[in-house]
Amino acid sequence: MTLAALGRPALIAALIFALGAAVLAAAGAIRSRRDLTDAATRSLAITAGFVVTAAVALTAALLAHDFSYSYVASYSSRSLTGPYALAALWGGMEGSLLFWTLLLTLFAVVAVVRARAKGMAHPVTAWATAVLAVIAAFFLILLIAPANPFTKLLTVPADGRGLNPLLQSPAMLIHPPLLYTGFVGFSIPFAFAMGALLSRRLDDTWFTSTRRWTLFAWSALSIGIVLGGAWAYTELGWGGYWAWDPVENASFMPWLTATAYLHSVVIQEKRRMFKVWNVCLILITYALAVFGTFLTRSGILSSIHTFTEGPIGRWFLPFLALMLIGGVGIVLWRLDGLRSTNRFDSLLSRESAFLANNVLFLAAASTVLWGTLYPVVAEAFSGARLSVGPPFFDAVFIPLGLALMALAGIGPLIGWRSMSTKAFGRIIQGPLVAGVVTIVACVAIGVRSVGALLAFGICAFTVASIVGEFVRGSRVHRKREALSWGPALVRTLTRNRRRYGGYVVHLGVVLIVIGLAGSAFRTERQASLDEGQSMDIAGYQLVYRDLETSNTPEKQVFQTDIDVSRDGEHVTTLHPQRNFHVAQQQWQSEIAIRSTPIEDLYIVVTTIDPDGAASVRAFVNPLTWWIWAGAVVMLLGMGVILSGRLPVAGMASTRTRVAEPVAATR
Amino acid sequence: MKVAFVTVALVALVAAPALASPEDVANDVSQNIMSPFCKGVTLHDCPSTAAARLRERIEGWARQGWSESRIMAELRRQYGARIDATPPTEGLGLVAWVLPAALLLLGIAAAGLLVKKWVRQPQPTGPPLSGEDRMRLEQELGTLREDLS
Repeated sequence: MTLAALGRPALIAALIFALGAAVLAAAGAIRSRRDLTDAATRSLAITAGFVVTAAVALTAALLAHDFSYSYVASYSSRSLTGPYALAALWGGMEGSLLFWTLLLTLFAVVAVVRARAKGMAHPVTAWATAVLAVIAAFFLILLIAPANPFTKLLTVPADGRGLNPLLQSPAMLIHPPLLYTGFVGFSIPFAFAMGALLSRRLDDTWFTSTRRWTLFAWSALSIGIVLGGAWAYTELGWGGYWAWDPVENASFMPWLTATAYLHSVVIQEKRRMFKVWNVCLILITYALAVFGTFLTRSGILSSIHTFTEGPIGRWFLPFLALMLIGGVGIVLWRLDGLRSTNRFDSLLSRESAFLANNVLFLAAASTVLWGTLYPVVAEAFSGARLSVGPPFFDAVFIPLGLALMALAGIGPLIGWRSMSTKAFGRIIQGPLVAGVVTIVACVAIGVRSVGALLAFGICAFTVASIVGEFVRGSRVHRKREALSWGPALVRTLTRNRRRYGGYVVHLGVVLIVIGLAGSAFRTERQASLDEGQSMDIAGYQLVYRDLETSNTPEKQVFQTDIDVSRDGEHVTTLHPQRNFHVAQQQWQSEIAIRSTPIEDLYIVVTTIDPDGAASVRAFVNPLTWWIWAGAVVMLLGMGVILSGRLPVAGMASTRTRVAEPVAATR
Repeated sequence: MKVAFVTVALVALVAAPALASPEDVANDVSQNIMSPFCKGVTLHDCPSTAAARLRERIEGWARQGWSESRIMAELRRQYGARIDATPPTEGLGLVAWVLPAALLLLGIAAAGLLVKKWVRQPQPTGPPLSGEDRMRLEQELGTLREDLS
């Protein structure tokens, strides 16, 4: 018997233990019996053990090229080796669901065990265990019934179809696991929020104890989304990184609501407000994460990278309905205990800025959701077959995005509770001048796009605001501890990692927005070139010098040599390829990019004629480099936040009093 | 602050768009229509050979001096209304455009009303500070004032 043969029995056993864990945990919570909850935790751990076994079984089948399994034959081939053989685990629908379930059960066990070790109230942990076990059971049912990754073939093929060549990219090794980590990670705060509501323990413990999970999930989703953009940019060959595709939107919507949650939860922590709102936000975030999984697997929307249209879409709808109706019902049931105990002191306060932030994030998420679903709604109501593409999303989303960016600059300038308009007018002057000077300077150097001018101006405003915060914080540490600027800056960053780490994340977002604004100046040219012929684009001259052909077991490689010069000076030689993948009988372009902070020269060969003539599509994309640099800065900011000791419930006001000397004076 | 806004407005007026070449017209059109050959992406972003051919046809029309609106009308005639990457601004399509703005306005109004209501209500007063807490608070505030002076 092979290891792979253990896969399906392991999934069935996992389902039995997950259902057992759900029943035991609920019984433990209702009857206040710790022994039952202990048994539920053990049962959940055994569930995770069986899911690990199933995942190992499928991985073994992939590595052994066991094509008697339909999944292995569909997503792997003998020529697929190394990390891409492993990536086939999440390259198809069934494997990706198994990977999702693997992460879910492992995260669930770690979260529950940690919560219990840290002394979280027994009923909260018990109900959270029950919720997590029910979610795990749902995914295990999918894996056993409609999305079985261990389906056997009657006739075993000699070789598999292999992984889609587009997915054989380094970014694809990391992008899907990070997205899944983000989606699945939100199940932990969701489960503990439900646990708190069901057990009527409505203090701040549920979100303070799951904050690290939320940040971790958000960080993974953020980097996963950027890596998805990087993959699209380097693999798809259309010179862009974001196409408002339904699958991209599916990952972006929970990111937007989770970002709103990360901001609004600060209000609950500091002012004991927005309790209902925060519970609703985490419910919406997790529902959107599951909805995204449904969208990508149901086939209800047209997308270039949905999974095969399978029967599992209809399984998701009852689960989503249960989650939403159940979740909203529980919130309404416990509404009295969620009333805020504090009130706003002033319209001009940081609380108001956070509220505005939440309104904008929710409006942005609703807009993306509406645009994504609109073709389905229009067809259902009128039979009209209409499309909603990037121009719609750009038109409705960019104003919201710029407003959010501006708010990231305004927020740090406003003090908690209240601030006089006079003081606000004084403190906003510096950033405002920075913004206006930037706009004027951009016009002076020839920028004519109003949208880009606004984006650059707002980015400068926000950077000035954030830098001002660092300077003010460092100045206090310099005086108090007689430090020079460098150590004072480090002290500022490390004394309140969450606040200043958050500012670093904002700086990363600013860089990303600068990179996105650069797309307003994109230049694109297409030409059919014989060897020796050239084309011009944005000051570059591209000369098609040579075509080299070679064969590997997987593909026929057609590599072009394109000399790039500017003002008569040789800049570089790029080697875009057009390859034929034998297993998939599919042509695929390998893009060549010369990337600098100023602009990217991006060349893709779309066809190669038998006589060697090449159709060349070239792009000059200004400032794209800053998108990836911004993501790295965001990652650093997230690292700063996650490396700190996060305050526990009730401790927040004591810690922040010392660490926020500036805000306290406003 | 007023000066800043006036400056930005003037700059926006000065920033007039430049004339577009046939390639730019073709790129613009291809970014505003969905690909008839790939699911869920614009013609511009579609990697198929058929899409490349249609882009070339559009560029050819632009070289003949066709306006963007004439090219769009021809494409709608050939491929139907679904080729438009944006919903129409009439009928059911109008709902697509109006709803996001309506949702935003609703959110702003709800948040505004909420804040107004909360700001108006008197602050619930907490228990008085103990002598020890008051002394600690004054010490902390004193240190802070020294730091900031």
